[in-house]
Amino acid sequence: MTTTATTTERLAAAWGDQPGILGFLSSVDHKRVGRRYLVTAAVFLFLGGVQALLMRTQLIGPEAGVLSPEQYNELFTMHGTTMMLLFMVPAESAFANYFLPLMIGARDMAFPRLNMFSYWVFLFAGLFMYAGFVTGDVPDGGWFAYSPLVLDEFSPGRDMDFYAIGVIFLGLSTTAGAINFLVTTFKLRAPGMTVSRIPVFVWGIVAIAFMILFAFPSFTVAPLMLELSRALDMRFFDPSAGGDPLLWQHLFWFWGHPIVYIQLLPSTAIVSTIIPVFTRRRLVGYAWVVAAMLATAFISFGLWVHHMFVAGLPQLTTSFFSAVSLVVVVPSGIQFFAWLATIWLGRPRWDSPMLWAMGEMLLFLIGGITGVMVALVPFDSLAHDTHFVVAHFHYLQAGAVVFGLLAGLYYWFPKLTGRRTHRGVARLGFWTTFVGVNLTFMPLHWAGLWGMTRRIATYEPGLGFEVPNLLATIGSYVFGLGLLVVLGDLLWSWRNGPEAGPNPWGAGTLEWATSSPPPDHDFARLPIVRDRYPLWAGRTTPDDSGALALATDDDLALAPPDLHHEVALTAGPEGDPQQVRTMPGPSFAPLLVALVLTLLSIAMLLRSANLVLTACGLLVVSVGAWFWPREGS
Amino acid sequence: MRQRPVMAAVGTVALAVVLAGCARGGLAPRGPEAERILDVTEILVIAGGAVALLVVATWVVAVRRPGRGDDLDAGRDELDPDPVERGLVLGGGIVLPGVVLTGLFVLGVWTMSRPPPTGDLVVEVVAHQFWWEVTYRQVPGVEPFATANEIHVPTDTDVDFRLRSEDVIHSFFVPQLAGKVDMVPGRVTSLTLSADQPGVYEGACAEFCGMQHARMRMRIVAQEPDDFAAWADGQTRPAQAPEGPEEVRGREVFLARSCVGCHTIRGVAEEGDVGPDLTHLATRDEIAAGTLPLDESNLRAWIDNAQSIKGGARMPPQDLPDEELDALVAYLLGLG
Ligand code: HEC
Ligand SMILES: [Cu+2]
Ligand SMILES: [Cu+2]
Repeated sequence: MTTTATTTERLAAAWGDQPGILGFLSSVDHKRVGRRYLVTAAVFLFLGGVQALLMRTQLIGPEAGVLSPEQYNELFTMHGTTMMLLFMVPAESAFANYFLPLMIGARDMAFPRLNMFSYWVFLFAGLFMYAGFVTGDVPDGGWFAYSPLVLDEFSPGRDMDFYAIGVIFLGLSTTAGAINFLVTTFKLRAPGMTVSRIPVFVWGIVAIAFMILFAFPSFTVAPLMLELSRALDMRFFDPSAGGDPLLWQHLFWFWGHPIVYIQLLPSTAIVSTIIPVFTRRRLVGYAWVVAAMLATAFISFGLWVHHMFVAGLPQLTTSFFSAVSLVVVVPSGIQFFAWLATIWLGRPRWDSPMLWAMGEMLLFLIGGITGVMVALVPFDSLAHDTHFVVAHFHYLQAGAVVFGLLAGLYYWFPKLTGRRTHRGVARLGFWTTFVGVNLTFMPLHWAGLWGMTRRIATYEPGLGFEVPNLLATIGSYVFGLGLLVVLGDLLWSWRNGPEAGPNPWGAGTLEWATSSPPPDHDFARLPIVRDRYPLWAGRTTPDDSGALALATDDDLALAPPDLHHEVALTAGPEGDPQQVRTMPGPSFAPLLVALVLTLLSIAMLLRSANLVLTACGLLVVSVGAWFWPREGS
Repeated sequence: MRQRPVMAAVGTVALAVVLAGCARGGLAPRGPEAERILDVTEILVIAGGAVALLVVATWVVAVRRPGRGDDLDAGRDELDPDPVERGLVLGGGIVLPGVVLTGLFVLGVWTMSRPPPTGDLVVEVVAHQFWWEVTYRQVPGVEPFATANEIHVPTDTDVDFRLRSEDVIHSFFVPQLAGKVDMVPGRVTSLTLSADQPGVYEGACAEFCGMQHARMRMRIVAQEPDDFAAWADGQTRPAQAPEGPEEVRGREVFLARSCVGCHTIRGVAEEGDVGPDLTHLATRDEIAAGTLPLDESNLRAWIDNAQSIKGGARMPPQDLPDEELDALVAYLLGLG
């Protein structure tokens, strides 16, 4: 008994943070990173949601006069930017940061400091983009920032600089995060976790991490070209100087289409994780589902032009991209039917996570079908840039992605907080949200087919848009209310919910093998993985007895990683133990470098050469400080 | 039982109302282009609806059937997949979408591949923030002429639109007649459409183009060929000479004030090319790119301060004395 106590104490000492504010600022623990991502993304969801409700209020009737055109344009620009970049992707990073190491039986991410750096950059880039509200230069050229509208000539002032510099800055965070997820998955899996035993959620993150690495360079170059055009009068997008406005669109959508799947895949991966738990059956067609996610990642790079079907491109081009836009449906179909088959074999239990997962399925189905519709060029020439498209992608993003994320949040809430949510309130929240999202977006399909274009600050009476818009606005209030109920439930349960215990759902993956919430070191002894669902091996129901194999020093064939700030590195597809590695501990360097980058962004915004040079100098110094070899560490 | 006919009547009326309500925009085509799109739309809705029903039905059965019950350990052996797995995952996930999507793709390509446009009439449209400049060059028997925002076409005639933009990207969209086509600076895009019936068809700029994107609307007025010829003949003439002293005064004001720098009135001042051609302003139903009915008070308010009506439009407030404003309005309303 004494020895175990000592072990736990020593582990806690090795993995814990300093107390107080210094500990908060220097922490690099993946669970803290995950929690901060989650809270910050939720704040941005709230902001983006308020913007959406304001816009819907303006569109409640013709010429409602609630917002000026300028305000409306600012709001839809910030709403899009917020939801795409500051809510969905970070919310997924939140889950990935918190649970990916736990699910593969690791004690941290591969690069803990880089991980905390990602968070700080995300936070500061978000604040930077929102700073326009303070200085009165809110970006208003659309989150898609089409040139030439966003060039100096048509968008004077600093508005679009906040956008362009902000997204370049933010891209650093996303890219660093992706590298971390990949290396962690490839090198830190628990011994014995072969590629075919990697949980599907982790596969989903691997797929999007690859996508991020290939897509984001394009979305770094494009805003950089935009900023150079604005600040230094370069002419990349100016046809009179040999440039081309469509160049921006190609670069933008080369990132902008994959980003949709970057948002969608973690959400479907969460559904693939949840359904087996609540049907008490292994995921049917695991290999197919994993292959489907990887295929989606690959194919999604071949259909960016479907956002440009009406830009006057040759028919051969549009036909090719139309075909690829249809092909990408097949992997989604595979995942969908794998879920159906799993439910078919088992007996579903209607706990809250399962409700949200089923909601995700239905919304995904509807958004997917309208997606097939807009993949056909003739139909797209009607639907493109109308509210039909608004309805279509909100079914996927406000619908499927949000529902998938909430399914994940309800599923992992006990692990995050150690407590369970209130069943009745959770149900109320689900149904309100579900009704709200459908009431908001279903009528907009009609508005679009009747000719209601997008991004319009108002519409005239007599065009027939009144009824669908009224319904949509009412729906959006219901939607907002539903999300507030969910928030209330989660906040209340966080303090007052009943104790959850380590594995309240009887789930099979490793994050449920440790206490809720997990200790700083995640696992007291590293697990040995012999099954895709390590906690289910040899059992029929979760109540059956069975024990998870734990690693002994011999298994690792190396020094025990238990008592120090160390992790086990494994190698190859079989996950063989390879060596033990000391992990970097708490540090202020990530915060410092992120602050210097913020300064650099501000310097670029002010177009001050001196300040830019100063910031670059500080950058060299601070990065140097980060990497300076230190005695004994 | 007696309620049945009542119910049926109510049902029929409700359905009629819904259908009538649905017959708008792209769902109420008035030309072959838009009809073709509606055909595709219908097939897509039917195919999509069928797939959705099938999936939901499978889901319902999957949820309600007794199932094989809990078994956390079953299915570990990948090499021996369950027949359910093979049937559902491969059948539903690959075969079903494969067949449906191939069919739809063929449909899409077939609909798009049609002989290149052979328009009998060519209309050039140049988009500006936030209005449309319209030029007719090839109307048989008449000189080229320009107008704005209101595009007349003869019925049952293929009209070729040459689409350009002078500033940012816009998009030309008249849902009852055709799909939309972007107008990109540095390029000329084109669109051929034809209207079956005389009528006024609402259109709009579909690509976000700045502050007043929402108020960049237009209308296509389809007329019987004879009516169209008469209209074109009227448009091609120089502007109507002012009749009374007030109108004469109005013309003086027009020439003396900034208007001439931006607007053309053929036969009076032809230098201005920043704003719409006003030669036959009074033949148009609306001003401000199809968003403000043309009448005396609206025109007066517009000239006085267009910014208060369409803030961000490229016409500055004019600040004219009342007397000049009245004269100007009288003159412009006489430009038939
Ligand atoms: C700086 C250029 C400029 C000046 C000066 C100017 N306008 Fe305009 N005007 C425009 C533009 C641009 C529009 C189109 C605005 C829109 O609909 O977005 C316009 C629209 C109009 C229209 C509506 C035309 C239509 O069919 O929609 C009228 C009438 C008009 N101007 C009259 C005048 C008069 C009279 C004056 C002089 C007192 C004047 N404008 C001065 C640029 C100018
Ligand atoms: Cu897309
Ligand atoms: Cu426009």
